[in-house]
Amino acid sequence: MQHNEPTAGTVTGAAAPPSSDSADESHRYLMFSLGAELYACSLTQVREVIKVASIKPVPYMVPHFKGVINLRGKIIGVVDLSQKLNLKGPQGQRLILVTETTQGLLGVIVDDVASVEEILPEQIAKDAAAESKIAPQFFEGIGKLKDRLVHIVRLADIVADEDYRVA
Amino acid sequence: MSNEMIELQKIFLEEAQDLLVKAEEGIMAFDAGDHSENRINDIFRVAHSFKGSAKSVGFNDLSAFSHKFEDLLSRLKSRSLEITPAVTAILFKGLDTLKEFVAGLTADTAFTMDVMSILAEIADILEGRPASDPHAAATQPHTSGGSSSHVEGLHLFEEEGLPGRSRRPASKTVPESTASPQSDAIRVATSKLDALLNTVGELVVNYNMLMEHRALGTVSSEHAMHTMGYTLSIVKELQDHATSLRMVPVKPLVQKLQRAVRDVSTHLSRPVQFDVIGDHVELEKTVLEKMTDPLTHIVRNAVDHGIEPPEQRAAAHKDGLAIVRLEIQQRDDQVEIVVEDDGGGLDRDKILAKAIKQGLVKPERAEALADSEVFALLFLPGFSTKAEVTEISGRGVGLDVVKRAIEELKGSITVSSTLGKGSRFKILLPQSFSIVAGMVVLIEGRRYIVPVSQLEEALEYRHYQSETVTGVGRVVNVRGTVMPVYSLSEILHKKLGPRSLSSAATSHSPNDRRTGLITAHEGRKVSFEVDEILGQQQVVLKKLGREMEDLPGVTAGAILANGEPGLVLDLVDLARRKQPHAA
Repeated sequence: MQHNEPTAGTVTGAAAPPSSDSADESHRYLMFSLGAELYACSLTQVREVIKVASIKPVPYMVPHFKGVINLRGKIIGVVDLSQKLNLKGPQGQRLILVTETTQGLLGVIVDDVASVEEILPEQIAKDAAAESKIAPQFFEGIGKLKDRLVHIVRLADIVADEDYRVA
Repeated sequence: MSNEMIELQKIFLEEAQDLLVKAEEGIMAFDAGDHSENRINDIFRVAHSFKGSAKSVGFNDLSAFSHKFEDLLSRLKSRSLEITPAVTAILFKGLDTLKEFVAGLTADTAFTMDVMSILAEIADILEGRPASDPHAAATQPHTSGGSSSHVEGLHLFEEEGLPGRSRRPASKTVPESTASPQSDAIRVATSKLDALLNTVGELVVNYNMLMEHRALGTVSSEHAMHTMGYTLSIVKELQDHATSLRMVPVKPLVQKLQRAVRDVSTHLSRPVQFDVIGDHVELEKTVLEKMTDPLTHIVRNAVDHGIEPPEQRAAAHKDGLAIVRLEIQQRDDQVEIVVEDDGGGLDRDKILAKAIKQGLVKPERAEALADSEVFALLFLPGFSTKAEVTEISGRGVGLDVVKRAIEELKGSITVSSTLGKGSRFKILLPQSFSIVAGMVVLIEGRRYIVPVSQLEEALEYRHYQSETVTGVGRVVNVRGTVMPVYSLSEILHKKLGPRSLSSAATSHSPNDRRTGLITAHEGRKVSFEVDEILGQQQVVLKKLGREMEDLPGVTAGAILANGEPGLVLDLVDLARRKQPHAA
């Protein structure tokens, strides 16, 4: 995961989590909230985290596809995940997680980003049934942190799995 | 099979394509009469190379066939085989078999082919038995469509007693009968080129913005001004070099077309001379690839449907040797490709009759249609029925497919014709440069880019007479031409949710200071309404993500001068969607 440099007029660096030794990255998870629920996804799926700024709407796309942004010269699409999943809740410091999907780079707006935590495989319950708006096939499992549980999801797959164009 | 072997096979198959092109060039020249040692050696070397490399990557069947082909050439090389039309025919057949084999292997490395019959034919020839293939006997020396500037072929024509025409050399087609030099080239992944072009593009755009500072006088040091000016010329040169990287010679395509003409003219026994002008032109790689099938179809059509059978030509006192001419020319930022024939031309009445029968035209409208509109009917899907798709111009390609392919490249195709004299297909293709001059426009407070090349004119609606016509909508009269008015805010923003306004609010406010962008599509003008034109800006076209593919009217993204992301509109696409062909 990288720190991003400021670009003219649009997006500036957010508080990026401390850089990690790549050998450990597979166990590091980014905590973020959607609506009132806390989620986590593997750090390997998040290219960078940036502030929400200057999103240009694109016609003929579904409402939760908010538009495009300028990511250091590249134009990438941005999806509001809470809106996509219909999760209502307090909106904190809205940020965009840039993720690489099978379709290319995509930005995902989440309601808040908390921290990066290390979750070892033994701390993840894979078969636990979870009540969540997110479909089971995108679930990695339930992670047990010191004081709470988080739904661990495959962020890149969730957002790649939709045709955002209005029929 | 190891990964390494798979990689090697891939590389072999790629290089095989180049070898096959070389081989075809050689065999075409051989067919046109060049039986020199150099020429035969060239072809032999290709077969030899093929045999060896195919074997080394495990394509044993292909290698075995190449071996037989090589035997044939080896006999020709040692002059121990008489050169007859049957031999030339088998060379072509062998080449086609190799092509098919390679194509099959490219799709599936386990591909095999039954080559028994052609092996038998080769064996016959090598052992001096009369050709067992009826087609070889039918290959008459006078039906050759090879490059016209080969003077050696002239003798054959005169011997056959064809009236009049001597083969006029086409100005720039000079075949090489000496061994072609090994090209000093390197394969580069197109993604690398794209990345490079993108970066160079950004450099140019940003540098231009910097130069504006110089123009505005905000740069104080004269030395700095001078250096900036000099750097600009370097940047421009870099841009030229970068753009040229994706340009490839059109020659292989021309060769394919020559072959196509030759095949059809031989098959139908119609003597055709194929003139080519401009085979030194270079086209952008994707454009060349996408134009191969359409042009092949048009050229085959010219011989099949355009050129009349010899008896008909004689009866019309036309030269027995028909001409099909291909012209490729570069004009500004466009490439013009013309395919012309001196055949029978298009029969307006016949076309109309067919169109009416297919339900494409209402009988009462027939008389009102101009010739150009009648000829345009040829490009409608459904014009040619399946029953007519012959072996010659068939294979599922119709003129409608051709037109679509050309339009996908943002080009255009028109046809003109004189009954009895011939027809002319003209194709215009934009050279796709990734930097375009863009007009920045404001629509409902949002900035968009419209390519300047799509703009015929910009005007303020209040200066012209507008009205609403029932059943049609708003129209405006611009110096005598009445054209529809489409609101871009309606077209784009009505799909954007909460911010969209009702059509009543966006359109007819009196004292309308709105601006109209006029674009032409299929000869008709259309105007699109925007709030304001803010200015011009050079932009680098950015590909939009796959999730945004095929959006109506939006084909690319760009970065605006203030760093904002912007969308580049395609007015021609929108015009087409608003006005599908009406007849």
